[in-house]
Amino acid sequence: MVFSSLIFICRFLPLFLVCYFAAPARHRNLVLFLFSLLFYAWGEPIWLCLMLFSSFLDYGNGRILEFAKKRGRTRLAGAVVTESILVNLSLLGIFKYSGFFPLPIGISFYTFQTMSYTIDVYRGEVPAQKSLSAFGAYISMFPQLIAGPVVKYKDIAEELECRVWNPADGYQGIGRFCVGLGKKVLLANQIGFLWEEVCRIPSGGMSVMSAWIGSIAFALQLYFDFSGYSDMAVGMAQMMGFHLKENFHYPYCSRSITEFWRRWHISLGQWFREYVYIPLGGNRRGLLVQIRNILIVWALTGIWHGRGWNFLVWGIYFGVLLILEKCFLLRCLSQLPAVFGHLYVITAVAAGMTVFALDSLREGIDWISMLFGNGVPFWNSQSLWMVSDYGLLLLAGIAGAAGLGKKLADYPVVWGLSFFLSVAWLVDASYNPFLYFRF
Amino acid sequence: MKKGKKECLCCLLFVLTLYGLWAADFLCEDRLYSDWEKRMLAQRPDADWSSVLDGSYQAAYEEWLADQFPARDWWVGLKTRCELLLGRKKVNDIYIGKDGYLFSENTRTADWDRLEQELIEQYGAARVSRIKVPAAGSVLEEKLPPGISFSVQKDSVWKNLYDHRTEYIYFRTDHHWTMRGAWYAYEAWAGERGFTPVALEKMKYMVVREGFLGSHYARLHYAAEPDAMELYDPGSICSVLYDTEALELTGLYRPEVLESEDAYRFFLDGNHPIVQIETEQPEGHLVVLKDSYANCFVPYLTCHYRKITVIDPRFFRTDIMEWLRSGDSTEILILSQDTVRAEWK
Repeated sequence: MVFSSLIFICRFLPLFLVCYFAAPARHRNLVLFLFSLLFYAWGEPIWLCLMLFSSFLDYGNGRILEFAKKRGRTRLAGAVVTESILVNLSLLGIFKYSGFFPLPIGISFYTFQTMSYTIDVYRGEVPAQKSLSAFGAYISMFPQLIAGPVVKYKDIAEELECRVWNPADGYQGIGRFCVGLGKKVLLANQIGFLWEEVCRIPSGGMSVMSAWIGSIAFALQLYFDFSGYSDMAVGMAQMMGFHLKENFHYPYCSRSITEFWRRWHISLGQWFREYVYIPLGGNRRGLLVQIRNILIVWALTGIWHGRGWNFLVWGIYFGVLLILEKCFLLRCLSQLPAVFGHLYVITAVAAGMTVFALDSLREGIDWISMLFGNGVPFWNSQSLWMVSDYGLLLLAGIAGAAGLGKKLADYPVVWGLSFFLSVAWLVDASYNPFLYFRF
Repeated sequence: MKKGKKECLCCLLFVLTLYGLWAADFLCEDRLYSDWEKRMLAQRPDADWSSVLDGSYQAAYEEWLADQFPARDWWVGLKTRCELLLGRKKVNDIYIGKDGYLFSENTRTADWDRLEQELIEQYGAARVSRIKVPAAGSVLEEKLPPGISFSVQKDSVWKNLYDHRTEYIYFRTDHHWTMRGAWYAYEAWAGERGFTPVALEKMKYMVVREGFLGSHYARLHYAAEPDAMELYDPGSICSVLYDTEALELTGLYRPEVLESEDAYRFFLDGNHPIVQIETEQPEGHLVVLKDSYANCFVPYLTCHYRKITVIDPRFFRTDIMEWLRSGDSTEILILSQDTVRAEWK
């Protein structure tokens, strides 16, 4: 199930909210767990076993780890945490990278979450969770199950045990949810059609302007899609009294790639920072080790996003940019007017995201060369048509991504509008006149 | 304290909205058929273990929910209006033209060219003629949104329509031509075949339906200006037999469908596999192989042939060549629309 669907908005969510708030506080984790299983099983009942397996295993791992640590059996603890990491990574390896199976939804997220749990318990940062329903609720929590954010166990451990609901949380949560829904349905999906339109242009009909329109459209679609989902997740968690960390913070306003990655998919960046980059030595063991660490983290970030060489290249591309920034680029940028930083980020991200979007490296390189005018006209009639058709929508998207509409998102009227219009768009998507007289 | 009140009220409103949508859905009775979409709607699926496990029940459930959503048409119209506010020029595959004109492409057609080829081989070019119906977008070029044009087949039919493009020859909210538009094609075709067309002024003119909303409207649930459906009746006396079974309707027109969502069915009762018309003319048997554009064209033919057989090859189950061999047809006309695409100027 996805949030931006009629079944979620008109059936699942109302049913869940009533059951959740009707249940006594001590059973709410169980309600959340059961509804999350229903949510997950709705689309892919078979993969439920996989998620349950991962949850039960790490629940057990957590208990054993605590037992081992209490008795001072460090070798056992070490073995258990290694086993947990290996099992989770093999699950990822088999189901995500082997190519034998269709990708089980959310596997990249829940395996990372259970790993963060066992590692934190091993490090002694949190006690193991004794309640299976609380642990299950953490792993399978439907607001963030399929598209993040990657919530670290220690961040919500307290709220899992005990959370107090107050109207302010409900109010803000509803606002976040409605705005996120609008970002996904009204902006991301619409701008996505523009990207598809650009993709359908045969190579002879391309122009520099079309390539830029395409890249900007894809960058905006990705941002609104992903950040809209995160907003909905944060919003729904807040309705229940969980306070998740922000996952996006106007990344396209950044003035360097370093800053961009502190504002884009923040929870994943922090995960890699905490569980890979710092254990490898971070920046404390000299420049060379730091460069190695950055490359490792970014290669991993790249392949986390998907199977295929373009993802690896995409990750390393950003890794290299970050290293260049560490070495000298940041210093240069700080001496130039802000506009250069913005232009640099927009160009570097547009180029990078295109590699992410296209299926092969070859296509990605061709596309980038088109962005810079290699062998195509500057503009043509089709690019002008796309501007006249999508111009205002693109402007609205750019303004939104630049944070110019920030204030708007505080008004309940805007939330209501966003919600109702999203329903209209979702209904329209299912509306499908059959033109029988046209074969 | 006052702030807490506002927040509680907002939470309540949200939950009430969610349940309101559900309740509205519950109260609306399921429909079997959508008149605007012209298709059967999904019905409540039955759950059993195997369909739940492979996910097909869930998919069917979602389809049912979407198809039976309360006031679906209204939501679609709301969405269209918002898109127009955003300055969109193409909504749900419909191009938004000037003066209330809506345009569509036609990307899927039957293989009329091959049919024509086979018929010419069999009967010779003299007995077979063809009218390619231009799309509204390729004739009314001034009404298109700026920046695009529609592909054009510049033949005599197109030219005659193009010369009269300021007249009311295409519907705004439907993809078909009006009966007046069909007459200009008839005039051009008659000129090519060497006979005199009956003048429009000699026909009985009548506006049979004000406020007609056609297939473009059905996709958008929005129209800046509805259409008027005009009838130019040549007034020939004829008997009409629809299909092979004895479904004998009165004449060439069906006034009783005018108030429905499918008012274009007024002409020849829409698309029948075969319609046989007999008139009081002295001679001639014309076979028309056609799509829906012919429905308002055929009445003009009743001034020239004793017998007219109208066949829609998309629904006609018998082999057409076989059928023609066993008949006594003297002429064959193919009238249909070809693939039409928008292009960038």
